[in-house]
Amino acid sequence: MNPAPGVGSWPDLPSPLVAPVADSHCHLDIELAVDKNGPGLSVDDAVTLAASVGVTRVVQIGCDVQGARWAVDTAERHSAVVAGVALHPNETPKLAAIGELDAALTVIEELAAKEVVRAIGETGLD
Amino acid sequence: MGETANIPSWLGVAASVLLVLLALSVSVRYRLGLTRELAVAAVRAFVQLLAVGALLLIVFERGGLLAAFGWLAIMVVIGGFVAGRRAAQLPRGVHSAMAAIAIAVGVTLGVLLAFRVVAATPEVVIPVGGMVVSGAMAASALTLRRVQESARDQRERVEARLSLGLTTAEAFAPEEREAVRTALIPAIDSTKVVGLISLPGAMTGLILAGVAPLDAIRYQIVVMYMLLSAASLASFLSAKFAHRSLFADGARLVPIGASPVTMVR
Repeated sequence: MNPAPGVGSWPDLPSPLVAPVADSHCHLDIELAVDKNGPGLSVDDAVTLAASVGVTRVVQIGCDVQGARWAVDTAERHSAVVAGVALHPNETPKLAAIGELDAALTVIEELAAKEVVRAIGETGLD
Repeated sequence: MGETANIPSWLGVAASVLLVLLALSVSVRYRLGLTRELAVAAVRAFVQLLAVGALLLIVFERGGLLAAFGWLAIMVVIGGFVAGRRAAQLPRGVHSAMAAIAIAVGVTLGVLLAFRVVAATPEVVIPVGGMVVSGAMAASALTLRRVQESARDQRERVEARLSLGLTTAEAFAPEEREAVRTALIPAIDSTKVVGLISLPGAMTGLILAGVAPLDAIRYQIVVMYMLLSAASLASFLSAKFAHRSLFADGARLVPIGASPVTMVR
């Protein structure tokens, strides 16, 4: 679980929670992106480590079209993961500027209908 | 059994019609508009009880235990419809009620029969079974009613829990628990006050038939305990089955009745 040199290290695992909880807002993809040099923390490892300290379920949030697709894809492959999909308000002006906002919202709408999607987020409010 | 001094004769029944006339006279005197309904009710009671008495006679003398359980099955089906219709907007409400009542009755009566607490004869299975079905039915109806209300009125809460990553079971658990708690109040309270406020049917019946009070109460204690079991099981199972039919694929809470559309634009 040790990251490659130079990118910091993972904190030690805290003691397990007294009752199982769900992490209502998680960015597993950012965790993975931190470590671009070596073998990062895979979703499998992240989910296993979380479960070992009592976090048995995770809501993976997608902030843009790519992130939302990744969230849905990940949730479909991991039973402990469900997805939230949306465009973050930081994304919408950029998409609007290049005329792709409507298309992006259509994709989010389609993704939102997937069975693993439990929430519309991140919307800038959550 | 035969005629005993404690049971009214048919002549006595005829005399008791005077009491119906008394009730009718109140309705006529005060123009309550209930005269017809009262008369129909009195006739219905007579006809229904005569029919059930004749049927019981046939079952006791010819039908045996199998017919008794058949009778019980019919009671369960009727109970399922009555309880399920209390929550008409719930998907598969009648199914949930019927399955819950059937299991509650099966387990409760099964324990009583297995430990030979009550005798496995039609004379026992039908009336005792009837009490169990009726207790299970009442608890199931209250539970389903409450679950239906929660699924309609607490929709935002449940959906919020789902969006925070909880499973459907976890997301609906508080509502489910509250429904069962509420549904069990009558069974628990009537158990609390038995003997203090109410002298219930089984015990009263035995005393009327000439059984010594200390023997009659033993039967009643068993009846109260079995009603607690029937109500608890029926309520718990109704909530479980209803919960299952409340969520579609993808953990979506199905719309119940006139659910408000909660999306804000």
